[in-house]
Amino acid sequence: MATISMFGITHFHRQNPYLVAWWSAAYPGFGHYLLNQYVRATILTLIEVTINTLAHINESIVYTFCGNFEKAASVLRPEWVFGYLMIYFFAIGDSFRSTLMQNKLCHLAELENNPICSVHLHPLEIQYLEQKNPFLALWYSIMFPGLGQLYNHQFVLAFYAIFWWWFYLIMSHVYESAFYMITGNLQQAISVLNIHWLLFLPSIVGGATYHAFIIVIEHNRLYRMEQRRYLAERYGNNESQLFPSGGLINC
Amino acid sequence: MLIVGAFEHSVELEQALAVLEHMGFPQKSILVVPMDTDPEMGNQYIAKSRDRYYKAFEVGMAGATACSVIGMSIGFVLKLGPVFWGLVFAFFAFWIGFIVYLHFNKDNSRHLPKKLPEITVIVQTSKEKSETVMETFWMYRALVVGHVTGQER
Repeated sequence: MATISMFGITHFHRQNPYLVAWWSAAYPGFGHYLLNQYVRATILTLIEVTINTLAHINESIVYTFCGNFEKAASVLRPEWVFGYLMIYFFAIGDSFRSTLMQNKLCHLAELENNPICSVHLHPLEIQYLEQKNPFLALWYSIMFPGLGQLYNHQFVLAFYAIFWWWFYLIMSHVYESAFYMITGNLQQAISVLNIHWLLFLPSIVGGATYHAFIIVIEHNRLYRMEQRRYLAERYGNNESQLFPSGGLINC
Repeated sequence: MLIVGAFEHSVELEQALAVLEHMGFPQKSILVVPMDTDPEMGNQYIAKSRDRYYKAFEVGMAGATACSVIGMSIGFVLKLGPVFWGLVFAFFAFWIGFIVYLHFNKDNSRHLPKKLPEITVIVQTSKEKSETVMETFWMYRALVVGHVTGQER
């Protein structure tokens, strides 16, 4: 059902395949993060940011929604676009299919009800399963994507997300834009923004928040499952009779 | 004498049991009953009435992200700019998704309180030691504690 390592807890959980596929569509790789397939998810996110930048996908999206279809077509780089599309749709399809499979494996693991090791001591780290508050994870993630993952003890993923969030903030100039907007300089607020990097932001905040929130709920579920299993094992074979003299017969 | 306490799933519960065993109460005198909070056994581990709101929240988040990208893009030709419209679209899409989900998934579960007695612990002991057990229960966040003064064995 779950295993614990220096990097945190890796586990099966039941999910709605459409939601997982949707997060893959929002940002290729995010669906695989929800499936606990961290290495391939990370590589997919690196592919997304690299190829999107080379193919100018985000600029094309903005021009399309603004109704400037000629510019939307001319800004795209055909040598990168086709490969981008293949990987993009593969990520969606694969995460959908993997969710169906993992849901079945999760069902089997639940019935098996094997012990879950809930503490891991490593010379460099301590990891443990604990009960947490999903709304605290939500709050941290909205404040700064990556902090929610840190709250969930997934420190490698957390610092990966924190690094990229800084990168996107600086490249998109979104804080400067917000500053100009507050001071009433609307013209400047729009012109300072970088279209390409700005368009990544909603997916990152949304994906990071959703991931942190789901993982808290699933960790809580694992905690409860493991505690029940443990208590049943340790205190289940109890010979004490609550009514030693035979209960009703003597009344 | 029987001491009965009810707890939530927590580390404190395990602390309470470990402390009792450490104090010399034999494992055989302790009975632990995990309680189901929902008649449907299939999802006994997740069963809490708040699940519906979690799901609605997930749908809201997905909608907010999608609409935020669209709002941001359109914002480049609107007066207040992409950041403003991105946030506005995200906000409304979240609440639309949240409310629509709740509307189509009516609440047919019982309204449960926030804290549920999920684990019942029963300890059989002598009258002199019963105070210690009750104090330990309360110290480690028991929700309710009761006792039965029965015949001594």
